[in-house]
Amino acid sequence: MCYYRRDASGAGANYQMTHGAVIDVASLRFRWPSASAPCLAIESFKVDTGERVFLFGPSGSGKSTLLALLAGVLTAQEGSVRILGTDLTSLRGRDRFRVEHVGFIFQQFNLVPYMSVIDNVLLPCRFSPKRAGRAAEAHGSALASARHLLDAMGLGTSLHKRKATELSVGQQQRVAAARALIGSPELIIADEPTSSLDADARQAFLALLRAQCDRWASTLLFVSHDRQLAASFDREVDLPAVNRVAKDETPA
Amino acid sequence: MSHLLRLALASAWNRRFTLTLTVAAIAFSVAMLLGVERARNAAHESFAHSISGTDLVVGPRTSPVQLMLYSVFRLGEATSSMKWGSYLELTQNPEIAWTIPLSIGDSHHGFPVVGTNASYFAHYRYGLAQPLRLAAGRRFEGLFETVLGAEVAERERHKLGDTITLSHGTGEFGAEHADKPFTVVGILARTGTPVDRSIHVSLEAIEAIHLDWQGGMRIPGLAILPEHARKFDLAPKEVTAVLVGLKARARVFQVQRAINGYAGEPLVAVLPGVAMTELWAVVEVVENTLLAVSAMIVVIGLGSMIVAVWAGLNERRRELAILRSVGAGPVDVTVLLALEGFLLTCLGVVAGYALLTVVALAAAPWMQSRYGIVVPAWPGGADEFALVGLVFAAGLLAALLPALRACRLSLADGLTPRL
Repeated sequence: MCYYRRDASGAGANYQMTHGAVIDVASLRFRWPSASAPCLAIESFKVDTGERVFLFGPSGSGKSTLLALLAGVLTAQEGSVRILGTDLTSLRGRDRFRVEHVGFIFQQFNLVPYMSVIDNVLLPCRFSPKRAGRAAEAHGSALASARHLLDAMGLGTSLHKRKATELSVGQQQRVAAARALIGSPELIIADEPTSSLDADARQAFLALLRAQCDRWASTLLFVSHDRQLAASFDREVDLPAVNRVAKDETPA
Repeated sequence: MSHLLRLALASAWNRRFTLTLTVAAIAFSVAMLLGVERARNAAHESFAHSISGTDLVVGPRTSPVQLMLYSVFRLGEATSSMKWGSYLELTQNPEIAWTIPLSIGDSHHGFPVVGTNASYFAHYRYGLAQPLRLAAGRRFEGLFETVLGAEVAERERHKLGDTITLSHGTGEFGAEHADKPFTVVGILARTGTPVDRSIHVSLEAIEAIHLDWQGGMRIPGLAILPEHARKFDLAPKEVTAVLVGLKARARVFQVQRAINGYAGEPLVAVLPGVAMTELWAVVEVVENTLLAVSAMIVVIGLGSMIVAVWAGLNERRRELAILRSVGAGPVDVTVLLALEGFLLTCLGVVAGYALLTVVALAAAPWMQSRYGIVVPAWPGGADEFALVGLVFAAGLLAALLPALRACRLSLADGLTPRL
């Protein structure tokens, strides 16, 4: 259980092996500003480096809120959310941190409709010189890296210049995966990426995603309400069980 | 910043059909605003250039604005006149270099008739001290000869040798001096001043056509044929205004005082510049109203931009969430949307300029002939740039509205828009 951590000296691509969790949530309480009761109360939730974790999150379990907290888009009122050892709650520049260390894949409509496939994949590199740098390290240039990832995802060169919206849903999800993976962020968070795919495409997508996460040594947090998928992961976490709000709220 | 600009451009290009309409709205409003501003300046300039070189305008005692209106702008009617004797006495003043007597009150198809003498052609100046020039023919010499302003000739399709009849009074339907027709002997070159609308005859001719008239009516039973008119004493008995040029401009107040205190009859001497400023103050209300209306149209144009960007926001919440996931912060989202608004404003202003240039060039001949002014096709002075600066500032402010809403939306949505 170890992960790559950027050296504090900040020297280019100098990573050092450190032990610890990629995700470390502790004593978390989150309440929407307009709500009276908290919607998330998690004592502890950890994901270790290199793990492939399946997070079972039926709708209403606080799944979207948890993901927003992990992304640093929301901040908790109490407790800490540590990603790669950095506490997001007190971090300035969470947006920069997010793009540098986390790749996201959504349920659907993952792509910016007016951009080409290749430009969609390159988006994180536009916002983060570090992602661009790491992509260039791997394949010579960010563009070459994007092409490589698309090819690896089974999307041939003829599709690269197409508009995102011209692709099938399954193809779009693979583009989204390539975008999440480019510049090898330490953590990939996938939010129901297969729910709009049919069974065959689902399995194919999962296999590709896993292979690429292995290839780039990225940790994978896969969120879904479909327990059938849990089998292909190292570990399953049941969000309704972890989130203690439901229990707390049951009338005494 | 540059990647945000590229994103904003790509996104705008994707919605180019809707946004083209927005740009067109802004372009029209900007063209309108600048057009009004330029027309205003052109009108002001043409107004200020209507007369030049005249140091004093003298007439029967009336308001300076009234005197200017009928003597220089040939609008409205003289309510009284000054005696010919007073005029002759005026010409004896040693400070005075030249005088142009004017007798105004008749018309031809709505164009004012000006009775005057040869000094009109010699001393009248307009614009930057330009003299009058004959485009065709010669000055009037005979009794029933006339020299037309350029616009009269053009609009009424008169050429040399044509005969015209004058009407009594300045209305379109005044009684005709039909028994004494005039021959067109000269046509003046265009000046862009009220001279273009004037019909010039001699002072004697004005006397002649009124020989058998009294109190604005033909005297019943009395008809004096043109050929007999010459036998009467046609020396002018009165004039309605006199344009005066001084030998030394520095003495203008002294001469003005002398005329204002003339013992023979109540007269008034007016400094044209001062009266013009007074007159322009009247016109300014209209002109400011026009400017205010076109400013409102710009506000509406920018409002349509707010609507277009705002309306697009809902369908773009997904897109904003994606951008958030790849590292765009709330500030990036705000800048992205503000950039879009700003780009639309820029395009609108540029298109507005282009539109105005095309329209101004195309309409120039028509404007010149119809209104005697030309709206310049090229960017004007500091005022215009200040106006454009204001439009830009308003555009930026307008762009911020949807941008701030986008920021709020993306903060509330996080990575999962609740659509």
